[in-house]
Amino acid sequence: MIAIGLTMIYRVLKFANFSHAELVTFGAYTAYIINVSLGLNLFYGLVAAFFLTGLLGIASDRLVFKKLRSKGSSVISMMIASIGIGLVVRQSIQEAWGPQIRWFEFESKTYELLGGSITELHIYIIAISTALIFLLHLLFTRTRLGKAMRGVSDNPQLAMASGIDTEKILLWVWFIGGGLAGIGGVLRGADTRLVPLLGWEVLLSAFAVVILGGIGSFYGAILAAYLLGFAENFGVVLLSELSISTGYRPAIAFIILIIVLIFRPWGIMGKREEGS
Amino acid sequence: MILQVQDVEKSFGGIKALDGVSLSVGENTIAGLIGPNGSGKTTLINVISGFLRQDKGRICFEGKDISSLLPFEIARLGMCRTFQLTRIFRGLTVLENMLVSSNMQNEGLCQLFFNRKKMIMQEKADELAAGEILEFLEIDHLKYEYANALSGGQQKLLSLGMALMADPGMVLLDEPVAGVNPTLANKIFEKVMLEKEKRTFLVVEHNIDILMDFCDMIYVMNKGKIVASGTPGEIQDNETVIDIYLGG
Repeated sequence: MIAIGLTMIYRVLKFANFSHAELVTFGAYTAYIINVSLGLNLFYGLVAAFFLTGLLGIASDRLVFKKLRSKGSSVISMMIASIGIGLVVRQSIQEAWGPQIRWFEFESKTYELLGGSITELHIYIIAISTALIFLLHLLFTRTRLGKAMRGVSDNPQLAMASGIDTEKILLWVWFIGGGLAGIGGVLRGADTRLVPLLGWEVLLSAFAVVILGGIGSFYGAILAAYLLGFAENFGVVLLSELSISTGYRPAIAFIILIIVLIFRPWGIMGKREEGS
Repeated sequence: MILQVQDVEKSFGGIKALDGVSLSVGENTIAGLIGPNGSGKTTLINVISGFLRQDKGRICFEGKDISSLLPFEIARLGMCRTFQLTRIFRGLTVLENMLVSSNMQNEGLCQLFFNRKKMIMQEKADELAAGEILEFLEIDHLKYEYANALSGGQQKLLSLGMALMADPGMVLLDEPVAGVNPTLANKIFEKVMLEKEKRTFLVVEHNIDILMDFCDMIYVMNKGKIVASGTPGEIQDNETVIDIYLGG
């Protein structure tokens, strides 16, 4: 989810949005308010995280990126600005909730399945991700909004000439991309724990997924996310068998990333640069 | 007059790209715009379609002042354009290219939930219209191909189709046959001729011969100014024009 949101924003706005990490964290803490402070079911937290993080995405665009865009800023300045936004949001979260570790409140049973075990939480995570991926696929292929989004990412000027209000489409991209980051944050927070660095910890992996899938390729990102997820989990087992510290776990993704990129520099599903 | 351009000026730095340009195009005609490289033809098209803002002057379309509108607003009023270097959505299929160009007024998600029936009807109607235009342009067999798989000529045809998709009152064509073989170039202009009873065209073109055959009215630009205008016959004999083109 986190990588898909990142891909969407990258595809349409053409810059690497580092503040995506904080959208993830923000989503997780939004759900924390609903779940722990208000004592409601975590599911409501998930819904709230989607909407509020989506709105935060829109706010960051209106307050910062839109202004930079209208001045014709380079992608580098946009990227630096996004790091700045990330810092502000992260620090604000830390001020509000402190640096200590927090947990969501929910119960998760464990089931035996095919000789292994799976928790209720993991079943939910898989179900929610699959459903969202399916919905996104419908959005991009069946709806006018989705086609307009693809049009704007493909050729913004032509989109304008075709009567598409590009600024309005950008708002939707921020809303959905941000919302997905928020959901990703809640799921990650439920699976591990909540800390102000939650999003920052997964940002590098998310970038790895985006690059591995082929920059800007939505389906590539999905495939790569599953691939890296499995690789990390199997890798951890392998590491402990070889009695190497499992602290190397995050490195597994990058080793795979490097190997793939040596052989397919354009990613799993990305497009080859023309002429090569 | 469907389009009226009055005294338009546009400078880039110290260079006057448009220096008091005025022209008008009558309804259901094909008007040609010719001139040597750098004479300001494309700049004029960009100003009319809202991609550039003029420094001075006024542009009226169907009696409305469109001088300060944004490109998508102008497109929605019924003036579409194509680009000199063919622009299509390469990552979309031919049909999707057409659908995206159908002047989407309601592209929000809310409509999807609250106005579902209407959306589906609209989508069906658009698909039908797209099919008809693609058939008219003889590229309907490529409907489900990705646009980047099309040949250069087919891409030109598609971009023309996209401009027609919103059923506009006026179409601005920026070099519609540049780099296209003569047979296909003629075919493209024949299609434009057939569309003339429904709409108006303003065509920028390097290929003067082809404009002579198909245009009702021709404007000649040089160094940011309109230096001559008239029917193809008048332009052919105009000495200024001969001078410009023979480098005199």
